[in-house]
Amino acid sequence: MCFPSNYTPHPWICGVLCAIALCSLGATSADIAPETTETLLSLMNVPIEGGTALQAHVAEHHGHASFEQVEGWVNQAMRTKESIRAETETKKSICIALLRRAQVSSGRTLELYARKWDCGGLKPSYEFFLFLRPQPHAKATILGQWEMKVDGSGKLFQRAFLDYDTGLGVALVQVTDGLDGVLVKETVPVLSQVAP
Amino acid sequence: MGQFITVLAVLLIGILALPLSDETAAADLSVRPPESLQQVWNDMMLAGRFGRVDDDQSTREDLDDPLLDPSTSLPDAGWVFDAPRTRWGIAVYDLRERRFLMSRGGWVLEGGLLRRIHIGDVRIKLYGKTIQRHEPYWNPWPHVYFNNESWPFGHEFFLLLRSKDHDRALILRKWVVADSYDGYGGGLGSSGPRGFLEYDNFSQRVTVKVMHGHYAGLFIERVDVTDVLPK
Repeated sequence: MCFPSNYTPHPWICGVLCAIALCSLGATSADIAPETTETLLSLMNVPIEGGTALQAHVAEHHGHASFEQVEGWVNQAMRTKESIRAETETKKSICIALLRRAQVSSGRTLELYARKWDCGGLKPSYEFFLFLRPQPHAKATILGQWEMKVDGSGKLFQRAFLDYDTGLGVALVQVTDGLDGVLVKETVPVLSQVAP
Repeated sequence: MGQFITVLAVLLIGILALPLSDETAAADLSVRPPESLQQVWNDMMLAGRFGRVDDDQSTREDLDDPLLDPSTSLPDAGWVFDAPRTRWGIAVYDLRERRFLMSRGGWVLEGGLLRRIHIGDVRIKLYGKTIQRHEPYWNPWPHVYFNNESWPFGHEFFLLLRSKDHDRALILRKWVVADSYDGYGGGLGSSGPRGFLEYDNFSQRVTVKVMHGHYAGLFIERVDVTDVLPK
């Protein structure tokens, strides 16, 4: 930029303004409010193991799909609005995503989450959690937890299903692989967990 | 001189008032690619045409060679990002969006024919499309860019059946694959998804598999084509 040769008055004003403008434009990285991540983690009641979440990023920052759109496919769910990615002090990456939600009664919902360790790695491991949330945004109680290692091509395509049987008051959790093999099929009593 | 400083201050205040990229992205959560752009891409796919459309103008047209096949002609077939570089690519660009000092924003829909199999007289085809959002940017000097960001909105896959009797193909199934870019390597990245297509003659079922690279499956589905194949 060319300044007039007689440019003398208040150069520091322009300097300060330029600095502010450049700082403002430079702040384009995905800085996520830590409380968003903290809230989601605490709402899930899943502790981050192996360290604290140092650089947690909420995937919804640029994600558009909601978990309902990905129909329970685990790897896709890690890119929806209801997912987070975090890194521990030991540089382990963790992805957590809501997979399915089912209504129990007014306000009470069942939520099935997946937690994937080593998200971008070649040998990720998966955990699935079933939560009962008494009210939206209230703390949930854990009803079930399942753990599995990836092994074989079929297991690259994990898909989760959640159904609630109103008559029996039980939740049916099912996780399948790409060959339609059943990895988890479990009935979890829900009604007994709900206070009258 | 005073005027110069005033103009400069107004410019800087204007820049400061611009939304930051994360604010823009948050506001854009409701933004979807225009239906007309999607229609252009989908019409080309259904008509079996390939090429590129820039701002509503066709700038390139490629001819399909029925003797060649993307599944076998390419050493590493099935990548959506690779399809526009082949004769089976479809690219629709619309980057006419402006925002104050910034321009060249909009949408890019890129992809094309990934695989096809011949079953008698009909062809079953797998198409893939990546929808990418480009934020308008400011380019005040050569090689100086502000807010020059683009991110994947998502991917779409189509299973098509084309027969000799019809000009347009029939969509058997459509899948939407979620994507996100969190600036942290959390998205599908530059390679994006890759599609596979297999046909089992015995069960007359087509298997569509879409993976992220080689190690993460996005979806796999078996589609029964018994009813649509000629008896």
